[in-house]
Amino acid sequence: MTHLAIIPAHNEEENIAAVITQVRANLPDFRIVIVNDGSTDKTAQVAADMGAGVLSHPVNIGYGAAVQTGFKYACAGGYTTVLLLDGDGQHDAQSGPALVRMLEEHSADMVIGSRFMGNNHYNSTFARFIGRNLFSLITFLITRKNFIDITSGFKALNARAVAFLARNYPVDFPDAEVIIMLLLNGFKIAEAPANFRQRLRGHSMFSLPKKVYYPFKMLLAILIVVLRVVFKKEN
Amino acid sequence: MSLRGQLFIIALSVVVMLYVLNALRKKKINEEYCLWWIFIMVATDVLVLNQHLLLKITHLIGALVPISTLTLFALALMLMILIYFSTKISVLTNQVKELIQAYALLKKEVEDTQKK
Repeated sequence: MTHLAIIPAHNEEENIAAVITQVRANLPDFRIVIVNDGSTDKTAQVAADMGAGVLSHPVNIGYGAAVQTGFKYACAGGYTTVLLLDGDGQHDAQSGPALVRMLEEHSADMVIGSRFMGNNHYNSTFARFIGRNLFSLITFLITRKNFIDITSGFKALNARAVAFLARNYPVDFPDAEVIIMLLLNGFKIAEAPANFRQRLRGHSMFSLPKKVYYPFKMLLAILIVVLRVVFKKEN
Repeated sequence: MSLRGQLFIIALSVVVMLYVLNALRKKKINEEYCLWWIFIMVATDVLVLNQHLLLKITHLIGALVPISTLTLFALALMLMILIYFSTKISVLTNQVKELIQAYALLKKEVEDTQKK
C-alpha cells in the first residue's frame, strides 16, 4: 500500500512550508507532491527545499486542472490511497488519518472532509451558505445522497476513484459536479468531520467575477453530468 | 413585432441552445463558452418577449422598427463575445508558447542527463 498527499498550490509561498510540515507530522507514511499551478512566487522553491515532490505547471491553468495533474501522477505511480488538501493551510492535516481510515471502514471510494460536521465552527459568508445548501439539495434530488459540505476540497480517495477522476475532472470549481459524477458512475462516497482553518495569508482564488460565474457554471455542469449518464445508459 | 416573428426567433434560440448543450455533453465545448451562448440566446428571448421593453429601447436609440433594435442588440452581443474570444485566444497563445518553451528546456535537460 502506498499513499500520496496531493497539494495543489498557486502563490502559496507563505503557507506551503507549514502545510508540508503538518502533513509529515500527521501522515508519516504519505509521500507529498505539491502541484505548483504556475505560481509567480517561490512556492515551488520552498516546497522543493523541504524535500516535497513538486510538479510545476509552466502557466496557471486552474485548481481543477492542478488536482487532475496530481491524480495522473498518483495513477502513474500506482498509489493506493490519495489525500487531497489545499496549499493555503485551511485543511488541518490532523484530520487526514481519520478520512483515510474511513475509506476502509465504510468501503468508500472517496471520503469528504466536512467543515460543518461534528463540533466544527467554521465561518462562512451568507452567499456561500446559500450556495452550498442549494447544491447540496440538488445533489440529494439527483442522487438521493445527502452531503453537508459539498464544496470541500479536503478528500481521501482510493485508487479506483483516482483513476476515474484522472480521466474526468473539471478544470475549475470541482465541487458538486464531481460528487454527482462519481455517484452516478457507481462510486461510493462518505463524509466525515474535518478541521478547517480560516485562510490567514495570501489570496483566495474566488474573485468577484468568479463568484458570479460559479453558480451558473455549476448548474450547467451538473445538468451535463446527468445527461452524459442518461445517454450512456441509452447507448 | 409579429407573433410569427417572435416565435421564429425563440425557436431559433432554442435550437442554438440545444446544439451547444449537446456539444457540451460530447465534450466539444467547455461550460464557460456554453454559458456565453446560453446567455446571448436568453437575453435575445427576453427582449423578443418583452414588447414594451423592446419598443422603449427602439425609441431610445432612435431606430425606426423593433427588428432593427433586435439586430443591433444581436450584433452588440456578437461583438462582445468576439472580443472575449480574442482575449481567450491571446491567453491560450501565450500558454502554448510557454509550454513549447518549457518542453524544449525539459527535453534538453533529459538529453543532457542521458549523456552523463
